[in-house]
Amino acid sequence: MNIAALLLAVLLLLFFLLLFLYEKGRTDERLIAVTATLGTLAAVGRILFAPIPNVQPTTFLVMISGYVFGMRTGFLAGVTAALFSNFYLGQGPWTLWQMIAWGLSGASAGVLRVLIEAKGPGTVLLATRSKRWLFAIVCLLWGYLFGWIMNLWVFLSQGGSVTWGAFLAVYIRGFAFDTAHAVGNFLFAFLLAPGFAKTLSRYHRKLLIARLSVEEEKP
Amino acid sequence: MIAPTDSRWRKIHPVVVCLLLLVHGALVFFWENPLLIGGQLLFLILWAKRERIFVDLPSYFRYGWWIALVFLLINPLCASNGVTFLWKGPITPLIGRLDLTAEELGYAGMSMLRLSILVLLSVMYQRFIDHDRLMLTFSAWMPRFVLTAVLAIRLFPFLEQEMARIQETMRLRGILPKSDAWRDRLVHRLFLFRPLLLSALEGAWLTAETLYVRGFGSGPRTVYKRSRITGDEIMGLLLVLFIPVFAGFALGFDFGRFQFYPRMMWHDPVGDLLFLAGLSVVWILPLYWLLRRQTQ
Amino acid sequence: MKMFACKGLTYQYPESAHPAVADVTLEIEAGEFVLVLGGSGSGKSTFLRALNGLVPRFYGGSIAGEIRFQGKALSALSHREIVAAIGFVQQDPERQLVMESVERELAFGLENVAMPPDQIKSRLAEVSHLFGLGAFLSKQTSTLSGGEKQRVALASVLALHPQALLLDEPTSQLDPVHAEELLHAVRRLNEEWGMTVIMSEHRLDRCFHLADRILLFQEGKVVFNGSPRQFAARARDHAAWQLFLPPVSRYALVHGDTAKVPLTVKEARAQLCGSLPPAVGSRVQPVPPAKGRMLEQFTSFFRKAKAEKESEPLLRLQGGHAGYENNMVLTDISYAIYPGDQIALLGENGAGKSTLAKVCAGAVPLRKGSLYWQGEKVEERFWEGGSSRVGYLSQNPNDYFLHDTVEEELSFAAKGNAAWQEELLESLHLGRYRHRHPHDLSGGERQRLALAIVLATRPQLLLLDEPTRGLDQGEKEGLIRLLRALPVQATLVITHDVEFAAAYANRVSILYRGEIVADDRPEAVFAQSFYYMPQVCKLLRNHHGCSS
Repeated sequence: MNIAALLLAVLLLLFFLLLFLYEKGRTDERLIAVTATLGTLAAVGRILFAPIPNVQPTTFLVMISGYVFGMRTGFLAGVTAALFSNFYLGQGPWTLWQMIAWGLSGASAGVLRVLIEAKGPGTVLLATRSKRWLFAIVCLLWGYLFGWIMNLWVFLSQGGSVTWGAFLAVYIRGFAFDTAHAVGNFLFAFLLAPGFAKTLSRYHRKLLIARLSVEEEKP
Repeated sequence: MIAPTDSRWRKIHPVVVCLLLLVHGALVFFWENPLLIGGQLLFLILWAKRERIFVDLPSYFRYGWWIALVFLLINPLCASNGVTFLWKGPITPLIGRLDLTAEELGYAGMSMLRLSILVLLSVMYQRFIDHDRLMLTFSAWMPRFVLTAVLAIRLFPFLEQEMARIQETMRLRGILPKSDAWRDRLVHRLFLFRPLLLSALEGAWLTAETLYVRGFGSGPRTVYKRSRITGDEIMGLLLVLFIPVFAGFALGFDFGRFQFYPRMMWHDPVGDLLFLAGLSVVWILPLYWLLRRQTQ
Repeated sequence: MKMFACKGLTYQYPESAHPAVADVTLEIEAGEFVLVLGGSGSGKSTFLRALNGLVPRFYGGSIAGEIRFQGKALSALSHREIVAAIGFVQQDPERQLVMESVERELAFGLENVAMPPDQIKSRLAEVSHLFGLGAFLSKQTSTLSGGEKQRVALASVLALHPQALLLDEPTSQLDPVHAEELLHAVRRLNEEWGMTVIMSEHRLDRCFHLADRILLFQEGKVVFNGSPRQFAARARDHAAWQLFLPPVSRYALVHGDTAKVPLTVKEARAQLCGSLPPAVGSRVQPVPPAKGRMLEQFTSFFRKAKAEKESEPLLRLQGGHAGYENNMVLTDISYAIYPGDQIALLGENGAGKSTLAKVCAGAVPLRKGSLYWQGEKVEERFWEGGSSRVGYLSQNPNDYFLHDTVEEELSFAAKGNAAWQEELLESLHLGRYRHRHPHDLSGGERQRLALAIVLATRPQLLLLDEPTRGLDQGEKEGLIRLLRALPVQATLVITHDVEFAAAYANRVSILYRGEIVADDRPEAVFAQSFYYMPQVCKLLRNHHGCSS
């Protein structure tokens, strides 16, 4: 079975597509600066929480960044976080997977925002209880998804000849770890998301308004 | 950039080195022959030893090994390939019969060797590549991504210092975790994060202003020190590309075939030994060529 | 030739109720050195940002009136043309460097304007030579000190060969040595290269006399536009303007002989030599009784004799060693803080000032030696309630803010004691900001909030690490008044600001390489050390010289 290889191809394609979007989109220096900052912050968070196994705020931070600043920023914050925390925690083939996994989690949060929030710079994010729950649950799910994407590289190193049983077994074996990650995400999201969203929105709003008013000035 | 090492490989164009490592990584999946994979691992170990990068290894293997060990045991348990049964276990739902066969164990062993090669290659990637220069190479194609990455590198030590300072301030204010319990420690660490987030965001605005003032995004830009590839390096690149050509060619002649299932079967040990000898030459050639300039 | 010409320039930030700069009309000639003065929030930063188009191009908002640069309308120039012609250096060295190595940092701006690589190389050689950066080129920017960073920032802006240079408080984050170096470089650029320099700055003793022109901003308007000498003369009638004069000029103004206000110690010396009363004995002492606020502050340190010296010290450090295994920061240091002390701790960077304060606050463990609190030896357990005895205010007030409003912040710090919270709000003049976000406050207000947070645990000893960084003169004087009125037994202030130390402290200690090399009343310490001498002391010292 070469599902792993197929998945890899799809993920890589998505990865480069989003990278391309970031490159070609309307990415001004304000967004670049904030993306780098958020990515680095998420990486620092990962190192800060390194003593607690598999519980780290990185996924949450990446996702809240994506939620507030949109798909591209979320994606790139995730990619940056993976890349730079690994300079400290060890670089390896898993770096690419983490880049993909975190990048996609950030991008997905951006998509979630488009789906559930009203447009415009004045919107108060995560204002209702149901939105908070939804966001926290998506964070929870990403705890598992992240682990699953990460496991793919193990399968790949097996040359793809893996039985369904082993596939399942590895995922069951990783279940405890993924659960720790997922529950951590959920807690972070549940406790912090509204506050962080508020803080980040403050900046986002400033950024949007500066941009809008610059555009208005132009004939 | 972060690991303060001065490997001589860092002086070589990172794209060439990257490709060399990539070719080695791809080669692992060309065949499932323990001799060839073992030979490649041995070759890489010798190479790594010459470059004195063994000190880095433990931390790398630590991460990969628990997954790998699980794999070594679980995959054979669940798989139902092979005929030489060593142990037959109970039948479980979903997965089927748990059993171990010599063939499956052999295959798992081979997989471990394969994984070791990949891990070793990633250590080399970390140590042999001038990451700054590699990133620079991309800056002509994706300036925004590269700038984001470079900014992140700049910010990392800075934010870490900020974090340490904030932690100290909190301690001095007597704000400590309520207890040593997991939950309290977690809540406490989260508390630290807020000031960091705020000051980082405020700084981001200043950084953006600097970028604007320094003319980033004002139109097309040039790249100072575009890392030019030398003639020697192009030759090295060709030699690197020759590796997969040679391997593919040999595979076409049925070298390197090894069958695990249903029963382990090694078609042509002597031929494979010859093939390995040939491979070693092809492996060494680019190394020799690329380092020639450095040693002179 | 006119470098800049503003006509009726008015600018308003998006979503702001008042214009930040209002109806500014002025001209700046090529080769001029213009010093822009004003308190925080007076519009001087915004004015600088208007001159290079950052407002409104980067910040948005609405602009009215006109700015012409070399005869052309600024709004008609492209982003790139402005970048190449007008250099801009802001205050935070940490945030101005974007690349990881110095060489690439210097090249960054040149790359952005698409200069061919060969030309970049020769420009790099030029600026690295000019700023003595040769040894730094391959260094990582994160390993540089603040002063070096600021120098690199300046060099990388100058690599573009701009015709005008805008500097927004370039030294506010630097220690005096580095600040002076930077100002010296700027002065050379102006004098030798003929570069037009427009700079806002708090550290006036070093640059006031260098300026060709002073612009004073108040609430967005230019209230003064003229030479430094005219400014000094006019300041006689405007008490508020005197804050923007160098200390020596203020001293002279207060002293009364103000036919011509001196701008430097040298001038003051020449002028005041005969008119000052002779110094008594060998001690430097400004004799005339205080009549102005400045003088009152300056002489305050003579008032407090050390009657309490005999009493039991509040905190005593005995034979303390602290630092790292192979790099001791403090070696065998003994130091005592008495009730009633208002100490200014001076010393160069890396002398161990912060470490000493952190040892006293329990943040840095002693490797050898011991600490006594009111005569009792300090054990590990002591620090569990440590923050109620020793309060420590770090250099970064932002680190203290954990909540969304000023009120919540204090309520958390005061552990819900509402009365105490109100008292703090009141005494630190924070009442009207209670519903603001701490990050929306100005620099001085943030500092007061952080101070209120530290005071909330009712410490008896207060330690402050460089509280004057980035504060303007008015805010500094406010801080002094505040510190004097605090209900604490003793205060220790780490500072680089000698003028602040002279105005505030009743005891000055100088730390050098982990050892206390001077520790006495301010007048005694300042009389010994020329470097750590406030301008006015320099003046009086020489006065003593000429009268004897």
